[in-house]
Amino acid sequence: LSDRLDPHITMVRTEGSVPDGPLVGKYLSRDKFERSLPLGPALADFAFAYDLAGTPQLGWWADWRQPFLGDVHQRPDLDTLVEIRPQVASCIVDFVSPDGEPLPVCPRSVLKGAIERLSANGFEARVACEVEGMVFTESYDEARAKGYRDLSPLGTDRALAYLTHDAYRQRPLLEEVARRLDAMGVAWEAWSAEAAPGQFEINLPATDPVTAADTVARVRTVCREVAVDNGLSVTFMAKPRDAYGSGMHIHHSLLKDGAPAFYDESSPDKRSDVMRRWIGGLIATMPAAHAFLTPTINSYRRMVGFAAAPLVISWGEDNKSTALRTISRSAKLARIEHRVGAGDLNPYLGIAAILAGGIVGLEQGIEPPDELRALAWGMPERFPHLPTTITQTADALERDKAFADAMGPVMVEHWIHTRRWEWMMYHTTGGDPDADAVTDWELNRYFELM
Amino acid sequence: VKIETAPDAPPFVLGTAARLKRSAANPALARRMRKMKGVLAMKSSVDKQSVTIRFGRGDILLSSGVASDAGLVITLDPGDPNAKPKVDGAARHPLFGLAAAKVLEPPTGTWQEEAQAFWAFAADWPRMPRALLVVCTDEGTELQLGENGSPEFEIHGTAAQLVSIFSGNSIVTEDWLAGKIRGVGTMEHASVLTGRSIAWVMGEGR
Repeated sequence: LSDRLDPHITMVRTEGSVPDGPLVGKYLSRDKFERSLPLGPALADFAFAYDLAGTPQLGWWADWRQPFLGDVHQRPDLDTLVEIRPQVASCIVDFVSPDGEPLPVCPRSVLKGAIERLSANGFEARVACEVEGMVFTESYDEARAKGYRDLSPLGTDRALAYLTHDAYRQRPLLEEVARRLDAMGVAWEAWSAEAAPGQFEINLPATDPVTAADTVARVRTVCREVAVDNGLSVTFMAKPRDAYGSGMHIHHSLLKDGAPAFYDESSPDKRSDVMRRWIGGLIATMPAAHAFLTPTINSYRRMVGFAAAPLVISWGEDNKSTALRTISRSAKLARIEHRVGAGDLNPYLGIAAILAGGIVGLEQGIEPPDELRALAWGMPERFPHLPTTITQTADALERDKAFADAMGPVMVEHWIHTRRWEWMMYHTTGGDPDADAVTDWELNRYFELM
Repeated sequence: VKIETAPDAPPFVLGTAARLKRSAANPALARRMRKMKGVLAMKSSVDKQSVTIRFGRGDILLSSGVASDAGLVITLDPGDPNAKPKVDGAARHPLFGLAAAKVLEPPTGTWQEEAQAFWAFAADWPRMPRALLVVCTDEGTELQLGENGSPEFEIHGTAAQLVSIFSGNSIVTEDWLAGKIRGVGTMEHASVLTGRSIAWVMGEGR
């Protein structure tokens, strides 16, 4: 450990993602951290069994849980150790059982499982995420006191993307975020103001899927911490106010033996057979994968036509209205931009869901439907639309056995239950079933945790 | 009697439909339901839950929301059966109101009958306790459901409380957490029992 951790580090924060997305962990003295290896510190398995309001989720059970509320461990991934502040390091973890077995509902382990299956098919994936969020001039305490309503966006109050003037006003958040990421050695490529007031986007570089998800988790954490330190508030809710929502577009491609596998110079459209089947799998499993890409009650409010979020299960070359935007013009650029993801998705599960869908396509040789060469909003019902409620999506996830097999059946079963739980909590603890705009229930539940 | 809910119905709608199905299982109430015609809405006094029930002489359709053509609107606290509901429109529709009150309060059996009905619905579900001991604290009686031998879970409560949870008027764990009943067993069994209890309240198996 002394090779990986500077001598002046006195404490280590462990952090691992629970399925709903937040990171949980502990601050450990350096000595305790070292002594906890290799299994890592313990915490109650209840961390995986309560919802975002702290209510125990009851109604089902799985073998990974212990009958009387036991422990799970946070096994540190020492390759992720970084210094986050003077004397303080952070380490990302995988959740394991007391005997060291990966927890089947640990999002990071689920992603690793999908990567292993992809590897068994002879491929590795490269992934690049776009992180969108919103920043407000009120501190979290002030925002909470206002019920998260009528907040002042940091920046202009115009629905215009890329305004450098807007970005300048967002510097108190984003330049400091960039500085801290640089100091941590976490790579980022660009940031800009986005289409909603207070909205920003941070572009992350292509890398392996686990690093891509780790980076999203860390970028969100740094954004929140800079906000706390500067009296601001940031949320990655998909739709915190009546404006453009926040998404997470996930660009990805495959490599085979280190070479791009989505490109074929000899093909008329330059798309390889691999890319075609990958698209076929993504399209076939999209209703099920939607559950992981659009995870919350609030995520669905982003699904509005002509407002960037896709509504139709479709793909198209350089088409930003379709669910999948393919780019096929060169070997170097060949990739798919998966545009379904909401800003509040769990990056580990979102990426895993995309890989699982593609794997189904590869393994079953699924041919994609015709490319959609039209604007994919405001289309008639004969075009297949994505599910529009969390329960419809849970039902779709329950039906898709091939997707569940690739994603991990235990995780899928857990997710079906928890999505239905989220629906029940919305309706029975104060949500408005007839609301066509964000409710107090959503703001109270998600604003500070997403 | 045909009772249907609109697609993607929320819990309040499903729970109300379940109550009507329980009433429809009673011959006298089923006869009454076949005669009822009118639109009734119920809304919660404590949150945004609501349901509109369209009675059409035996065809009953439930949907979320309070329809503008509802002749009778009942405002109530869904979590407190003892709270007095407020009724708008009863003066204009007295007979319909009376019939609605009857069919929305399905009759219950003894706690033993209700426990056996719940057990018949839930016992085969994966991970359910193989044996459930129910202890009635005010009558000093008990009933073991499922296999003989040591029970894997015990529920203790008054007769009225046992009727409430086993008939589907309330959810096992909510009443346990609220101290209305007592339980002995594992978290696994408590959780799975809760799942079946929620499903029972929302009309599965009816």
